[in-house]
Formats: sequence, structure tokens, C-alpha cells
Amino acid sequence: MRRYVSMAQIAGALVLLAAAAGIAAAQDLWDHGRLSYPELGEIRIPKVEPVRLQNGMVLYILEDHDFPTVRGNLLVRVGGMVDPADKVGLARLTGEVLRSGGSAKTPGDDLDRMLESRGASIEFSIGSSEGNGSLWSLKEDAAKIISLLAELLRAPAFPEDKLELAKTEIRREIAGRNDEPMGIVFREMSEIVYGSDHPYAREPEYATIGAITREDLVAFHKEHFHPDRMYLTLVGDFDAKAMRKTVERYFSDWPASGKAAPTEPPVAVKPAGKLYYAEKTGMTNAWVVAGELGIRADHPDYAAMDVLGEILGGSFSSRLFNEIRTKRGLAYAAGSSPGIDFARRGVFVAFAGTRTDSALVVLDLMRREIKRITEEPVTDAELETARSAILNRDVFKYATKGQIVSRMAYLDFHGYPVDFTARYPEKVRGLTTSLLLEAAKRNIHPETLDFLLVGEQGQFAQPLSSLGAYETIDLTIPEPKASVDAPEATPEALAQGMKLLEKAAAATGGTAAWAKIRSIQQEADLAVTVQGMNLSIALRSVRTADGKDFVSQKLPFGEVVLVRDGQSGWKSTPQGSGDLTPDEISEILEDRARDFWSLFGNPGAYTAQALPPEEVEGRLCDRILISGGGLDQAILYVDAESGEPVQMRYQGQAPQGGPTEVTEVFDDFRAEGPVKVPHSTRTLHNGQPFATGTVKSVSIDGTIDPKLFTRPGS
Amino acid sequence: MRGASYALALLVLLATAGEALAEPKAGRGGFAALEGQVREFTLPNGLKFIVLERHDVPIFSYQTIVNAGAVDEVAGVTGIAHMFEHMAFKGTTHVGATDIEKESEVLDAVDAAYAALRAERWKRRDADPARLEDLEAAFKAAQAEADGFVVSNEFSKVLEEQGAQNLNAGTAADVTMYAYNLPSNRLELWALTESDRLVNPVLREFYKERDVVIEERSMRIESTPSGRLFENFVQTAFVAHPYGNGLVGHRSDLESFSRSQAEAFRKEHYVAKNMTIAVVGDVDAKQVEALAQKYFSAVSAAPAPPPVETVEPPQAAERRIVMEDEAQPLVFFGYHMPDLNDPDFQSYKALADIVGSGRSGRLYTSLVKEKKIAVQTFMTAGFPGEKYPNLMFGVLVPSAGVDPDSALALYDAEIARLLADKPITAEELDGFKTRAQADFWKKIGSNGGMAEQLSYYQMMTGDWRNLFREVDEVQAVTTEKVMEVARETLRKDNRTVAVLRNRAGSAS
Repeated sequence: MRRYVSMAQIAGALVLLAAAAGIAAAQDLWDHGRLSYPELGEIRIPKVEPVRLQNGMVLYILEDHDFPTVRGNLLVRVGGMVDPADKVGLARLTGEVLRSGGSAKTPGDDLDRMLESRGASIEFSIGSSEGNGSLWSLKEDAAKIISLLAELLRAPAFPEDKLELAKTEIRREIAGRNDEPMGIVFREMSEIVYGSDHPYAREPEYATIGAITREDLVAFHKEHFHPDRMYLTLVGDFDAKAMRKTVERYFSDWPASGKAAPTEPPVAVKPAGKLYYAEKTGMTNAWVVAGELGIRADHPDYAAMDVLGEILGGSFSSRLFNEIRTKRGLAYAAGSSPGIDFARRGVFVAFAGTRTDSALVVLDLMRREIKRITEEPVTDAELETARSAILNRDVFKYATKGQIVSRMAYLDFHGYPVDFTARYPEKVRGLTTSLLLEAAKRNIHPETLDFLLVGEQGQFAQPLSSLGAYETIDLTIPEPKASVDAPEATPEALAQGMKLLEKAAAATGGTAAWAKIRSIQQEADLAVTVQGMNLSIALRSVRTADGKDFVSQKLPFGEVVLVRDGQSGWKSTPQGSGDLTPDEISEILEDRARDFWSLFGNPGAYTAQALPPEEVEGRLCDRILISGGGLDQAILYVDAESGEPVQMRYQGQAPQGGPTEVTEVFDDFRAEGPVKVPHSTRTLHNGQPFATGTVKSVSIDGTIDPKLFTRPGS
Repeated sequence: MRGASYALALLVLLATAGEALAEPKAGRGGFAALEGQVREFTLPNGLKFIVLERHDVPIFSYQTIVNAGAVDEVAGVTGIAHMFEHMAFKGTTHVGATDIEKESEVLDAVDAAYAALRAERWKRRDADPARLEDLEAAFKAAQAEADGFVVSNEFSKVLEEQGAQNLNAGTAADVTMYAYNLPSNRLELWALTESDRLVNPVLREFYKERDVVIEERSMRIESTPSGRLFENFVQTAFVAHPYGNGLVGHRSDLESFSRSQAEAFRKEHYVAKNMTIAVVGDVDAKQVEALAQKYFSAVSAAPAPPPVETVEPPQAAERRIVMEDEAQPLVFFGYHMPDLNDPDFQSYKALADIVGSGRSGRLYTSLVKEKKIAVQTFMTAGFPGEKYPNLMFGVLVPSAGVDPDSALALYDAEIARLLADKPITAEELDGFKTRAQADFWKKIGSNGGMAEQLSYYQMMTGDWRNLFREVDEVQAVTTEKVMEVARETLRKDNRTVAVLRNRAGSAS
């Protein structure tokens, strides 16, 4: 700019003056300090009086004629917090199936079509502290949506197939819960702060999901869904009086429970101050998180903590953002949340995703900043910036009628006074830097704050142990417990088990006959049913005594061949060929260990324990719990009289969702050479039919095509 | 807590990819009145403004949309559109500066130090390690000196202090957008700061922000299995067109491009004729116009840059990539389809919606509800952008224990049925038309949503009125046309498939 001035000097005084004036104007133009702002226009808060129906249901209804639509929210006093410990996930499943399963009158699939063809939606879910629903429709469908909502809440169908679908979804979620780093970070911090068994932190597991039945959902609904535990808000293009009548028509004859709703479980501060580490490979960054118990919004320090949160890590000019991101370029995501929740005490967290090699540097910066905010008062300028930001944006709480009403209903639902929102600004105005420091000291505890690192320790610049002791979090996803509560393995039970196993061997040809076999080749047709889809599989297997396995499965979309020649193994599939993975090899070995040939030819390799007999389809069966010999655990059921194998149970993988209890039912035993083998097998997964197999041919010690065990291309 | 799963990460990616900007819809009734309230004007430099007054609450929202996105990047500077989006928060000659003249000199020195360092790095194996070390030290020292003239985060601070809410920016394949909400008595502050960063930006703290962007890449793409799969998918689907570059840029480009290259990108693309600004809320259109003249007249009047001329060649064979990872299986697929100004674009939208959206869509009904081999299915048209021919993109999330190839085989069977004996029905198409209408109201319900739609339609179609005209296009779609489009598009030799297989040894 100065250059223009010197040019102007050459051009003459008049030009100089004009140019100088222009420059001054230009410089002033973008000086925001010179701006002053008119008073903000009036915020007209619409009058909404809550209506309490005779049965206790609370309605907030507000007209909004800007758009030809209707929006609604539903709050229900129910949450995962009431789930029994062995059925974690019950509330969530109830919420999901309540919607997906539809009502007796309108089955779920019909409901889906009905809603989506109208561009409408009804969604419902149950979190750990409350149930939440949402409605949306064009105005002409409003009454229909209300009636459908009433059907769902009052008479949900909870069909088995939709429960199974919801379980399938949760099982996929469990299986993938360690896939993405951020998922690990927030889940584990929540467990650290509340305690891993606390209702706010518990996670559904295969076992808890597996234990939940339709009857559980029905009972849960009966206990927790009552009009006196619900708030419904409706905003949109309707006549409020008429809308109230519509709601009353569908809800007012629903009797109140008259009983108190479940209350939030107590939370306890666990003074810990520990460092936790969860190993996650395949990352180029690491997550550093600090956390402790936060506050509920009715805490006297609510406003102070809100302002402190803004200063510490809640804005684009906050301390954590500035120190970690702006000044050092160490992270993209860096900040904190003050942990204020309206229903319960939330979780105070500071977080940053940073380059792996700078993880410990970031941890140190974070620790220092958190400590500093509890030791020195924030500056006047920081307070002023944060306070202005919060006060100036307060108007956005009233941005739309929908927001205003949802907020009013939500606060009322959780017991906050009507003027809670309106009085908030004056609380913020009353804060001083010394009041903030006192609040920080009361609510933020640098000494007992817990830290969590998620990443690959091998890539950190220094070993984690340089920070002192730390605890490693095991992210392993627990498989369901064995389906039997086996009684103690007394010497008598073990001896009896072995006798039963030998009896079963005798019933099918005898141990000596099985032991002499050098190879078994078998061809079978398998019909598999996976939830409505039928697949035919042509199965061929060749197994030799010297440890070779060949399995071919001809599927509709091609042939899958798995071969193991003792030590190594390979496979060919329609997608290409390659080595068998360690998992595939162990699966083949496990299958081999369950084979009658192995069990009956070499019973001494196993531990066999007799379990109390049971009746199966009218046959009294002895039961043998078998383990060892390459077998994890299986129960063989044998006919109590003849000793013939009836069925075998073990834990396997379901094609559509994690582990499952597999039951193989044997039938049609026929003599094949020196032994007897079943020619018909039915397989059940968790008691549901999965596959039927029919043996086409069996060849004992026949000629084996050597090509089967020659690796293609070698 | 359900935690942030792959689905969340994917959503983040999709949002980054501009999904939030895409697919607006219109419907019948009530539109004419709304359309009639929209005002527009263009400054002499070519900058177009669209204003809609809504006086319910004393707040307003705006969106600046720049017709430049990742698609406009060339080899060596991928990621620069996104980088510039970050730089737009670094202040101006007025904001964040303590002594702009000295700072400019020192920033020139930083550029010179980086150029020297880079020239040595270009020698690769022949680079002199001692000299590299010296140059790195000099580069660091120059940056440290420049930092002495900076008030960090001042730009965001000025706005946040005055009540700016949802302060945000985003880079998509087609466009870059800047937006926030502000109390309406601070309209002039908006005009001042927004024009300031367009007219007088200072690309300060550039190399540290480049590190931040690398961390963003690390977090979104490199450290998540779905991110890695997604990046490889897009790179495979396009062999010629820059849509294949992705949004964040190659790591090596991020590690090497310079401040001057960013400045060159800005000079070419951030010109008045290449931008549109929409303002919606409690404002007076006349006052917006006066402020626009006062503040935005100085935005560069240079001609708009040319469009991308590279055309993706037709595909001759299916492309398939398989990634093994310690994660649950996932399948992405994409079929080539035309751009949004194609006369049949709404038929493509209809196809993706009927096949792949909602709980009653074809895929969800068959693969999730009936066969239970997947837990999520999804399909959308216009991906990763829609300015140029793009993809009909889909996702399959197989149920636990279902291998992705089987899930894909069943998906293929469903598509085969659609093409052979289960064509789209009139009822399905009616559903799409009603949903399109409902979606329109959802998207314009907030001031911010309306500003986004108006500016987007103006920029992408040349006229914001197309936002309202789309209703007629949607109503004119026929089942015959949708099936014609389906046969043309849903071919294996027109698609790319990316499969994530669970690597042995991890939890299955």
C-alpha cells in the first residue's frame, strides 16, 4: 500500500490527497473494531402451555404454518439403565423391535411401506437414560401418523423375525466394535469413568443378546410403557385444538400405570488418576483422551462449567485447540467437552487425535492445560470472549418453533423449572474469573483424572512406561460362555464319560475298526436355509490318516476348495486362490477332531465327562462332555440303550451373526466297510433349522486321486 | 453407548464428500409463494447474491459457495482446495495481524526458505544430508519468526465472540462452502469479515496448517478401515477424471506443496464470477445489497476458470479390489452415470432411491429383512460430485460371519431380478415422488438449509430457480425411463466394486 502512496506523491498533491483518503477508507472498511451493533430484535417466544391428559401423558402442541409439514418428538421414562446384567441390550432391542415389528394391526413391513410411500417417518429408540421417538409427515398425513404411533406404543407386535433381525444388527455391531478407533475411544472412556458394569457404560455382548427372548420384550413393554411416563411434542401446520383432539382420540383411553417410573442409578466418583492403554494397530494416528465424571445441568456450577468448557476446548480459539492444533499442527481434532448432561452426570473429556509419534507430547500438553485451568484464573479477555460467545448465540436456542418446544418439553421432562433457559444468560453474566477458578477447582480434578491412549505403542516416540504405570485395556470381544454349566469333573464322571464314549464307538463298529481306517471319502448334498434363502451345496470331503484334508463345496456362485496336506494348506474360490489362513486351518482341525473317526478311533486323546442324561425327541440319551484332542468343547448325546450317537452340540459360527450353538442330529446309520456312519444329518443353529445333509456315497480306504493334494500351479 | 462405528466414520466421509450439498428436491404446493420472496442481485464484478427474508427470529444464515473443489486440483497439488478451505480461517491483513508489512516480508522469507529446502529435496538420493538439515533449520526459524506477528485463531474468535453459531466450512468434490449463523443485528460484521477473507487473505501459519490437514487425512482415511477402503474405491472407479483424486489429497502432495501454490489456486478460483452467496433470515434485502456493494465490490473480477475437460472413458470391464483388514467385511460399489444437468438425472435419482433407500427399498427388504445377510444397505446417485459424470454409489454391510462375496452375490441376484422380471412398479415410483417432496421441505426448514440450497442450485445449474423447478422434473419421471436407465447403468462392466475382507487372526 505504501508503494501507491509514493506513486501518488509523484503525481501531485491533489492525487495524493485523494489516494490517501481512499487508502484510509479502505483500511477502515475492514476494521471490525469500528462496528457497533443495534439492539437485537425482539425474540418472540411462542406461548405453549403443556397439556396433561387424565392419564398423565403430557402434550406440547404448537402451530407453525411456515411449511406444510408436521414434526413430533416423544420422550419416555425408560432406559437401558434398567436392563438386568445378564440381558444388557433388552431396552434397546425393545425400542428397535417396537418400531420395526409394527403392531398387530399394522405389521412392521406394512408400516415401513406405508410411511415411506408418504415420505413420512416414525422412529423410536431407547438409550441408557430415556426413550426417544421422532415423527415427521406432510400435513395431510398427520392424523394417520398419530394413530400409527399410538398402535406402536400401546400394542406392539414384537414378532420373532424382527427380534432376530435386531439381534443380527447388534451382533454385527459387537463384531465390529473395535474396527474404528473413535468408537473404541468414547466407549472405553465411558467405561473408565462410570465403571464398566455401570448401567451407563455397559455394552451388549453376544451372551446378553443371546439370552433375550420375545417374552422379555413383551414383559419389558408391559412394565415400562405407560402414558404417565411420556411427553409428546407436536409442531406444524395444523390447528392446535384439532390436533389435541386427535391425540386424545388415540391416547386418552390408555390407563395410567399409577406407579413411579424408574430412576437414574447412582454414580460414584472413583478417584483413580490412572493411565489406560488400548492397543489398536493399523493406525497412522493415536487418540489421547482424558476424562472424569461431569455434572448434571442442575448443578450450581452449570454456567461456570459451560464457560470453562468454552475456554478450555470448546471453540476454535480455545486453549486446547490453540496449543495442540494451531500452534503445533499436531492434530486435526482437539478439544474438550465439559460433561454436562440434563438427565445425569455426564463425562468431562478432553481429546485429540494426533500423529502416533507425538501422542505423549499431546498427552503432556493436555495434562498441563487441564491443570492450569484449575490453578490460575482465566484472563479477563478469555472470560469476556467466552461469555460474549455464549450470550450472543443464546438466541439460537429459539431458532425454530420446533427447537423451542422440544427444549421446553425436554427440560420439563427432566424436572427443570420453566424459566431455566430464560434465566441462563443472567447466570453467565454474573461470572467472574475468580468464581470460575473456584468452580474449576470443585469440578475438575487433574490429580484423579484418568487418561486413555488408543493406538500402536510401538510407534510412540517414547515407551508408554516412561509416564509411569499404566493399565492395558483388553479389547477382546467375549464369546458366549459354553452352553453347559458342567458339573464338577469328578474322577467317577470322567471314568463314566470314557466308558460311554467307548460304548458309542462299539455301537458303530468298535474302536479297533475305526482306528484301522486309513482314509474316508464322502460325497453329500447339503440344503442350507439362511432366513428364507435356500442354498444347495454339493459337498465332497477326503480325509486321510496321515493328516490330509480335502473339502470341496460347490455353491451356486462357484466352487470353494480347501486343502490341507499336513502342515500347510491352500484354497481356491471363485475370487481366486491362496494360502489357508490360520483360522481356516484351525477350523479344519477342529472339524477333524469332532469326527467320529477321531473320537471313536482314538478316544484316549480326549477328556470325556459324563453329564446327567436327557431326553431328546422321545429318546433317553446319555451325554458326554468331550474336550481336548484338538477339540474346544462338544457334547455328544448317545442313545442310553444302544449307545448309537444321536446328536452333538458345540459352539460354532453362524453365517449371519457371530457365534451360535450348533446342534448336529444324526440319523440313518448304515454300514460302510467295518463301521457304521450316519447318512442323514440335520444341523440346527441356536435351535433353529439351518441345514440338512444327505450322504450320497462313502468310501473307506478307497483309491485317492493324488491330484487332490497337489497344489495347482506347483 | 453404541459408540462410533464404521457407519459413523462412513457418514463423516459421505458428509465430507458433499452429500449434504447434494440431492435437493422439490414438491407441489406452497412453492410459488416461497419462490416469489427470493431476491437476487449481481455486483459489477460478477458476484451473485441471493437473499430470502424470514423475520420470525432475529438471526440469519449465509452460505458462500465457491465453484472450486477437489475436482479442480491437478497432479502435485491434490488436496489444495481443502487446504485453502483451512486457510480461510487464518485471518487477513486486518484480522490476526500485528504488523502486516513486516509479516508480509517474513512470510516471503518463509517461502524462500521452503523453496530452497524443496529444491534440495528434489535431488532425492543425491540430496546432501547436512545441507538438508541446515535448510530445514532455516525453514523452521523463518516460520518461528513469522509466528511472532500472528494473533492465532483471531478470525474465528471475532465471529464466535459475536455469537456465530455452527461456524463451518467444507470441501466437496465439486465446490467449497463457507457458512455460519449469526444474530441479525450483526449483519454488517458478516459482510465485513466474509469480504475481508475473500479480498485480503493472508496465508499465515500455512505449513503448520498443512500438518493439521495431514492429521485430518490420517484420522479420516488412513486410520480407519472404511476410510482406506473408500479412498481405494474412488481411485479405482476413475482412471482419468479427477473425481478419482478423492477429497483430502495424496499424502505426498500434502507434504510438499507450497504456500505460493495455494495462493495461485486461490487467485484462479476465488474470483467473483466463480462464487455465489446466499443470505437467509431476519435481514433486509436492500440492506444486504448495500452492504454487498460496500464490502464485496473489491473481490477479483477476473474471468472464471475453465471447467475440467477430461472425460472419464467408458469402462470395458468390471473393476474389483479386495482389501484384507482387521475389520468386519464391507462392500462399496459404484456404477458410472451422467451429471446433474443430464435430462434423465431425476430418473437416476429415482432408481437409486427405490433400490437402495429406506426400510422398504429393494435392497433392505431383500438383503436385510428377508435374508438377513446384511445389516445395512445404501445407494445414492451423484457421487462423489455431480457437476461431471459420476457414480451411482452403494454400500453393503454384511452381517457378522457372512463373507462379503456371498453378500455381493445376493446383491447381484437382486439386481438381476430387477432387470429381468421385477421391474420398478408405479407404486414404488409414486413413493419416490412423495419422498422427494418431503425431502424438499426438510432441507429448507432452517435458514442454513435454505441458504445452502439456493446457493448450490445457482452455482451448479446456473439458476437458483431450478431448486423449485425440480418438482416438475421429478413428477415427469416414468417407470419406463427408470428401467431404461437401470439397464444402461447397473451393468457389471460399468462398475467398480471394493471389498473389505476380514483378515485372519482378528476377531471375526
